[in-house]
Amino acid sequence: MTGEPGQQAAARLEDIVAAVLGLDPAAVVDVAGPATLGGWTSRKHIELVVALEDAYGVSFSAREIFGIRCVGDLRETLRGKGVVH
Amino acid sequence: LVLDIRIPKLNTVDVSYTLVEWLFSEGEVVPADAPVAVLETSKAAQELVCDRGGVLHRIVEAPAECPLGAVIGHVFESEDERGRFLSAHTEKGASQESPGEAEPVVTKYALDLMTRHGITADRVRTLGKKIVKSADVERLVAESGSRAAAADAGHLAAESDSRAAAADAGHLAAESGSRAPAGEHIPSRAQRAVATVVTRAHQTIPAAFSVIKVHAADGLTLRRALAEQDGITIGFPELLVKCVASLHAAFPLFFASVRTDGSAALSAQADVGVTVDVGTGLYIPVVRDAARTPMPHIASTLMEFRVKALRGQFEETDLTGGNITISLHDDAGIVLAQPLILPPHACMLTLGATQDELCLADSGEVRTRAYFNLGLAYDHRVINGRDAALFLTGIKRTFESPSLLRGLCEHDREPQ
Repeated sequence: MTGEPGQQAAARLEDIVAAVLGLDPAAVVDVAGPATLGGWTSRKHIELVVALEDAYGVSFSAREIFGIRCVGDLRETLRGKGVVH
Repeated sequence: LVLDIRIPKLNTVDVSYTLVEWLFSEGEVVPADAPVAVLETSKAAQELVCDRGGVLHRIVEAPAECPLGAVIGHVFESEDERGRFLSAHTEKGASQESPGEAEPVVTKYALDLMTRHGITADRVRTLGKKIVKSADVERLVAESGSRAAAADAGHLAAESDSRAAAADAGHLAAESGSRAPAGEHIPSRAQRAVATVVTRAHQTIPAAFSVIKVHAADGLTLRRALAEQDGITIGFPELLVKCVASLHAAFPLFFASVRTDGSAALSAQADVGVTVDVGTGLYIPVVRDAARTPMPHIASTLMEFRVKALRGQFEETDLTGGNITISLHDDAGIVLAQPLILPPHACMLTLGATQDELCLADSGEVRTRAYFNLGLAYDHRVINGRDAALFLTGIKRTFESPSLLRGLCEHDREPQ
């Protein structure tokens, strides 16, 4: 990540989530999750993890994967790994 | 007393396993019920447990490819006993169990490659290997620059998609430490295991096929409700596992183990295999006793399987013991897939992608509604078309009934 990492990473997270779930990026807000985004199934959940690991060069633990309930959780997890500000 | 440490049969696919490492040194005291070695099957790593304690003597050193039933070590009651054995062994000069003193053991896949590429036994002997693996033969093939091999494998490479080929190359590199010759595709060990099963399935099971359309609106509603109320992230695979398992008592033949003579052994519970492929190879882990397993546990089990597939952490026990399988083909746009039945199973279900169609509502308005196609391949030796239709209809009825579907999940909430 170079330039303005915070903004760049935040935009990328939304784009990645939108691309994996087949949504408009505008729908990808922090409170959105499997209950509100119809495409967020258990299978897409793991595809999200794979896509984010690939994009940010990080690895999610099994506990982190199980603990993700919404976009905000994804952002917090990535923030904890220092790749999103 | 001496106990032989043998390579056990861990699955129905492989004819040999890799001895990855010993967990105790030569001559070390091994406690009873301790894992003494790590084996790798085509799909998973598995610890080899020795149920009796004693002093370890290792016959085969890791890493090595070992056929099923091979004795790879002994456990002696005492160091004296081991010493006596070693003395006698030295005097005799050779042990029949020592593969180094006899003809090399050639694995099935290595033998197949030898036949296909015209590699003679004499050339294999020049390797000086106790156990000859496919990677060894591949090296000989590469050395000889077999044009026939390249043509043959090129055909295979053309058939496989690039991702699978890349994954296979990764497997191959890990196995042999070398890449396949240019223009040649040699399947990974995992893919060869798949090949063995599907070939046997195709050759031995007279399968018929039926498909049913299942409306998905109620399933979608329940999925959202479970996510909102219980924090459970599921998809149709989880609901389908539950639906299918709930029919075990009414349709026992669909969960039976079919013998070659067409007779079948009924199973006591529904152990449902589900295909998992996250880009690291095809796995079919099993949800045990799915009819009595609460939905949250089914959801966490399937998620755990996906994580294991992603990280390469499956154990053989995750992958064995299923008596019915659901094959997931729910990528967007996939209408239907016709599966092969895994011997000795009696059937396999396939789940297609959820799609939208137009329908006429009671009000007369045109609306969209979601549906998916559910396929069933069944062994026609034991199951007829009428029974297949009843089984599929049973799943459809449950999936399209909010009360039945929710009832399966509500029931789960009761104390176990």
